[in-house]
Amino acid sequence: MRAGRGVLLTGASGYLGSLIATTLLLGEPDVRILAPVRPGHDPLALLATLRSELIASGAVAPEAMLERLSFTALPAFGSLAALLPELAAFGIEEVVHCAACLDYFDEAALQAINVGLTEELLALAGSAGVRRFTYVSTAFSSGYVDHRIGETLHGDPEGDPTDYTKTKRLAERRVAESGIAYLILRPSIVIGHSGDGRYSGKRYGLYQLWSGIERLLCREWHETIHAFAPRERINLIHQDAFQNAFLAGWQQLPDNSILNMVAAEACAPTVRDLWVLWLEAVNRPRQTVFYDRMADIPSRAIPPPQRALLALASVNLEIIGHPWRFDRAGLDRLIAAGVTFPEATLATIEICQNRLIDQSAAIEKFLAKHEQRFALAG
Amino acid sequence: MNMTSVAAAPGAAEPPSAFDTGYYDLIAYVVSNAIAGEIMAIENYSEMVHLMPTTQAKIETVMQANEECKHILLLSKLGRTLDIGVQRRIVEPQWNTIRKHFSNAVARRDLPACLIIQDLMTETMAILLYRTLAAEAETDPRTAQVAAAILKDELEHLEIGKARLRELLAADPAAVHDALAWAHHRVMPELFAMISTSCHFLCDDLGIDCGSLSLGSIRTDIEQLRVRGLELYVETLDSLFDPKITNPLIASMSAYEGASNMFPQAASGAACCGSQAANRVPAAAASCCGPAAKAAPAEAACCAQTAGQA
Repeated sequence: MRAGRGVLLTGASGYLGSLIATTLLLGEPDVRILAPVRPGHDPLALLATLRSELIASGAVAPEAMLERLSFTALPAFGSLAALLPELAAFGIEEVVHCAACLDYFDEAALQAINVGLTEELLALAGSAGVRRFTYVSTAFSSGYVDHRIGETLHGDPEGDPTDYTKTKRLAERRVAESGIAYLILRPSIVIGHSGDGRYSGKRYGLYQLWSGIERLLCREWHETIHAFAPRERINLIHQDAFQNAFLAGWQQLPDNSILNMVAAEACAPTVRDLWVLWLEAVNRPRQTVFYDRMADIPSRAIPPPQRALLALASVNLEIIGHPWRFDRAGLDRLIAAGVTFPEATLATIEICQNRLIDQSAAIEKFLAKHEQRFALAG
Repeated sequence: MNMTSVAAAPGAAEPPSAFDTGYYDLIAYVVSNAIAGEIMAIENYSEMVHLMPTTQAKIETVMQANEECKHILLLSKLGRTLDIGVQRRIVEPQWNTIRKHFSNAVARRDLPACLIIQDLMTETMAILLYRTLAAEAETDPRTAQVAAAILKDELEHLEIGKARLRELLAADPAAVHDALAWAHHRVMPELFAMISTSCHFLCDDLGIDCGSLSLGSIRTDIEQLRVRGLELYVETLDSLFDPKITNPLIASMSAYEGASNMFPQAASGAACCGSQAANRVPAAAASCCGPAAKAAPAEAACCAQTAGQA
């Protein structure tokens, strides 16, 4: 057994997993990480992503830190027990389970991965004598409920936005019932860094909407833009806030804790605020028509690109249109104890937005093409 | 209903010199794939004839199949005229997958699903293809002429399909909605995967350097084509269905492989984690297609938690 605490981290090739990996490498000098990844992933590319994030986070010796990270091939489902000797050799004491299926529309895959894989990992963790199992869930795992979402296991809701939330909720229950000490983390929608806007994730969440506008509404200028913009506040957290809260929760919270990693409601912008922020920066239509309800939008009458955008983003737009209310007592305690948690305000979200805009050739071309029009409009 | 005949005007056979080898390689690739789609259409229309409720509808369906035959002949002739090699068989596996789903629908006597697969989905993508090729400013005159002629037929096929589906919707909307969801999740990923210049085997068969193909030759790109395809598909669905029915289906397209560069969601938006997914290959990479890619399965997959998922 090697020196230092061994942590098995799943999902390290993804956005949150890579943030957790860098957080552990930076904040826990005695932690070594074993990261099972699918054979299709290029470890060098994954290392490059992690190296960039470490450097951006101010690491002075990123290579030395990365030496504490090892990749291993993820066995096929049903064969995870094959990892057992490796876990023993690596001295795995903790599991951080971040891998998940995010395909809202593939019910079988959601069940197999979010629930099935979690069950298999729990069995593996049990066999390996792991001390604690940390499960990265989602703030929305409650499904649609009309009460404030607590930091406890959820019951069955009235309904679920998608099978994604349902399977994450089921997985939480499996974790809690496993008999292994656990920590369940429930981040809301994570966006880029509050300081420089960097973001290495796929285009989900807010980035889905931004990228959709970039791709669909920046080929030509739209005089009028029809936007589904409920007045609900949208719960976003910055990646650095996520990292800080993760580390503090991991280090400080007692066993069998559940932590809602969510924004303070008072700081959160509305969906409409975000539309205005974007449209003023990029599309600059002469008129914007905001709709509180999706059903109010005259879908067939709006221009095809806007109609396509609306449809493509419809599921997430409907989710963010729901009045989600979260308890965040656990996070507030961590903040009171000194954890830095930069809230996502319009100003910090603008930093992320500007980063995306600055990196977009399509937007650059759009703005150049319509420079004169925008100059005249003042 | 009648396909416009495209007579080869004397002298028109000579391709303009402004188009280079890359352009003709691209046209060979696109035309070969179009022929494969037409072959599939013949088989689909032929297979669904017996499901049609009236003799008139059976006749009309056979005529549609016949028109698809003529398209193959036209496209083959275009290949000879331009002196480019074209394949007259199905090479790319997506067509066979769609055929399999279609046959499944026929076996279940699910006429709405058959009409949706062939007349709505496949014809909509055919319209996208032929509209692109028919743009005279971007393609050679001969290709534009042939594409315009075929486009006219495909637009008619779409309208015929819509009319048939309206009748079925009036009789049993729930059955048609079920058929739409079933067909959408099976066929649209395959069709969108083919909006690509990367292939499984076609370039090898044509003796083309797969990585050299560029839609820049016809002043468009994959992303633009996919966006146009999406808009066209949405337009087609909107002409028949309530957005409440279609929005979630269209939203699921953000998870298609290769959607990252176009739609919001995913760099490989679809998701999973297991080893089955290990060999996933970006089907829409505009230039790719090494041997490894050709061997790869196409399960939807991904793995790592991405926060933004609301």
